[in-house]
Amino acid sequence: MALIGQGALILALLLAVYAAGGGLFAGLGRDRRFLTSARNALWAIFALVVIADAIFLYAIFTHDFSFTVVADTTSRSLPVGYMFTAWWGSQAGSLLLWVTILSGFSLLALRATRRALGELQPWLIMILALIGAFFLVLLVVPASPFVTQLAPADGVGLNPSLQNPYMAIHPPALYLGYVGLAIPFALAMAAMIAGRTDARWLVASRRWTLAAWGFLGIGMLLGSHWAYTEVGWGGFWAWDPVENAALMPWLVATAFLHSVMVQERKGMLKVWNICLISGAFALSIFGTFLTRSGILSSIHAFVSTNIGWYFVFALAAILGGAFVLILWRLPLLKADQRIESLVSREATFLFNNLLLVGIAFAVLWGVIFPLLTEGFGSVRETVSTPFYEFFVIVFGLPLLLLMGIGPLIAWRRASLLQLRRSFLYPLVAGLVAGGVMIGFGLGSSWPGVAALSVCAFVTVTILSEFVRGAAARRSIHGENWLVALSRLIGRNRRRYGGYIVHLGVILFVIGAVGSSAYETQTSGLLKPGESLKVGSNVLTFEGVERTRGPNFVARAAVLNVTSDGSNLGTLKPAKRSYLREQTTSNEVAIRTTLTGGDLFIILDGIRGDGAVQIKAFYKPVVALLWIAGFFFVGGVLLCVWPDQREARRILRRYAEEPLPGES
Amino acid sequence: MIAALVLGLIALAVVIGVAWPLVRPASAADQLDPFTEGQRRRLALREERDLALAALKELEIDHATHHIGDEDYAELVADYRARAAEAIRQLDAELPPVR
Amino acid sequence: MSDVTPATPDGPKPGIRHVRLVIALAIASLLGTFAVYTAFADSSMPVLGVAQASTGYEGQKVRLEGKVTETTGDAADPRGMRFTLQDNVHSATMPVEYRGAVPDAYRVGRAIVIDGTYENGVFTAVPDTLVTKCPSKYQDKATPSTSSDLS
Repeated sequence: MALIGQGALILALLLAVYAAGGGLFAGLGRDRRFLTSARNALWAIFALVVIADAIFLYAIFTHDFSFTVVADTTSRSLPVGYMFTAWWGSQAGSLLLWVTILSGFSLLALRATRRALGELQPWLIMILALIGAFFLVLLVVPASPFVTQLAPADGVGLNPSLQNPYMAIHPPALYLGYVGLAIPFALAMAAMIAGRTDARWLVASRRWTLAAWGFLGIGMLLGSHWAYTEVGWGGFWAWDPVENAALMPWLVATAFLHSVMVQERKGMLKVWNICLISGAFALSIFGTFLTRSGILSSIHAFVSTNIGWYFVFALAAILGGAFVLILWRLPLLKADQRIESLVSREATFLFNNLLLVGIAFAVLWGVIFPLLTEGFGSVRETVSTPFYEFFVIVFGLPLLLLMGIGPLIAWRRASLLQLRRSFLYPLVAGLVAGGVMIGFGLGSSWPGVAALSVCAFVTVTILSEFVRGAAARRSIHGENWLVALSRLIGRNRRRYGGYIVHLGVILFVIGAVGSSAYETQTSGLLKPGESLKVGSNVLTFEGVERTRGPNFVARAAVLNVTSDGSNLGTLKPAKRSYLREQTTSNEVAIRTTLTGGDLFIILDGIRGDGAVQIKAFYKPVVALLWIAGFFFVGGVLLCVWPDQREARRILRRYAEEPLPGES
Repeated sequence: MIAALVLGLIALAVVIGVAWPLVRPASAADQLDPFTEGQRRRLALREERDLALAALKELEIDHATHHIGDEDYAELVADYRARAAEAIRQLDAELPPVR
Repeated sequence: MSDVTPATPDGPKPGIRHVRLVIALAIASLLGTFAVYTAFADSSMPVLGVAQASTGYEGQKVRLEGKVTETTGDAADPRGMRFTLQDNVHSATMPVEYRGAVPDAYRVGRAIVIDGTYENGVFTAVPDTLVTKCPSKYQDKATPSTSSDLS
């Protein structure tokens, strides 16, 4: 079976190379036959990759430990649900997932661009096939899922931290994001090769960029939730290279989502947009490799693995290729117009871009700093949380402010008089909020107060947008509030979807600030009957409880929680011993209050005499972090949702004149 | 042995599927030019017209929600109307499309 | 877009230069902030193996890498945990004192990373900075520093 799988991948690789060549011939010779042939090749690649997936999954589910990868990541006692997640539990498996998603997306992208961008299709196929070929080379040579061995009696098992529902969804979500960025990138390159550098490739790539960006964001949020509940040190983001790996492309993609709106309306920032999407995709490749190999732990680790060089080659090809294409097409990429005024939405978006790219750059610097210092100095150096937090605060606060200013300013030019009127209520809200917070003692953290005041400012701005828009509809169309609001949102999905996403960001910021700058923490050694006070809650230790799971044995500290006398139930932070994997894991106990704060309890240790070492946190409003996710998803869905009117308008545009049949 | 057979069959199917379009000789119908120069120009003009009309709509919303003053509004509306009119004029000046 | 001549006049030249200047200043201030911070703030620390750390880095805050060869005590206890860290390559060892959270994967024979200062023959660790390096692709972490830097 393994042979068939490996053979399928080799065949797919050959087809990918062929498809790239076919696309090239179709593009140069304007020959439809090669285009059809190359497209068929892409279909065949998808089928072959699916066959490889099926064989791989079959091996996992039948405990075929002759597959080295299966033996390294599963065991007979692994719960069935997590056997599926073992697919991406290894480097080879996750690369297989990457290629599966890529070939599926490529077919979808071809389908979606048949009508409007027929002339880009040959180049689109060429570029997507080249990307696919790269990953297939990795799967065939250094990282094959089908390497075989003498089957041991049982596998090693899956890392217990990964046996958690969030880890089941988090990697595929991130991969959908990483791979999703390949499509806008390919469209951008194809547009430049074909000489079609107007906004059409942007419009076609919009939904892909939004979806990919959304998946990256949700993937990161899920990962944070996992870190919070599973890894359980009390935080949700550790500025680990693996976390930064997803953050960097997401930040650049956020910048891109904003600046494309400028290009659509004013025909400027063309070169900048191509640089942004190339950078986002390059960072996405960078991120895939960061997560999957120890290439950045040291130069020696980098040189000793062969994957490292493939990755360098891929980055050089992407960035070099984009650079060459931009130079070649520079005459076509001249801006149609300029920024007319600093008080305009274009200017706001430009500053937003600079700040986002600034943060991304700082994060990138932090990630590669160890490599740089080792390569150019004598000793490897590293940065940690304070470095990242500095830039997030210093660049992030102005960014947050812009989020509130942007909606108040019109495109091209806004009058200062109007601005003063629009600014009044939000500004007052911000100042009042700041004053109130200082009055309540939140002044202990100045970044905290600043961030929360700006959040108040932005929230009022966004809500006023909804109100003013609905009011305008009422006066023009005479609708009632509900109808006006729903029609307003329905007819301007991207704008109001964007506002909903911004509200999600605000919630996230409030949750992040509240739970870190204003948390309280205590710890203590408790014998049965003794209590610990944290915030307004009292935790009374009753005793240790033993339980058994499918593949683990657990010992929990039973804690009774009371607040002002009323009983709030019991919490049982525990330690689990996984028999097969021979590791122990900490299971934290979390209780969310009605105000969104969390009582977060870690069992640090159980002493021989039955006493327990407990660490407890009270984290205000931390639940907002996760609630923000719903706003995020809702806003993205609204933006991406097909608009019947717009689709009809576009169809009409093409039907006004009979065009030759589509390729 | 079976593996080699299965792979061989798959490979055969794939090669046939991929080579099939190339079997017949190239004909005029295989020319991959979805648009002639004229069609491309007219499509660009139509996009320009639609873009200007969409901008007018957005401007109306911005004005109704008091993001832009009357003076600036009047000036920008005149500008976008002129662009749309110019695009429509150039479209009409071309040979009318065959319906 | 390029077929239609824009109906707007050329636009006030000084206005455009003004805009360009502000944008350039914005970029300069971002770069400047970055340069000043990385140059002057004490934002980085050396990453050293056990052998390197014992010579020439006394009293400095460093990140230590090594393998745990023996361990006693409880990190959650006020007296803390004491373990011996051996260099990943050489045979040099160093005693380490640690208090704080211990990641799930911690055990004798595991490669770990920890922040702290080597002084008077003992490496005194910063609490909650113990991170294990899994032999496979995943890094477990107990607690990177708590975000006390935000307050």
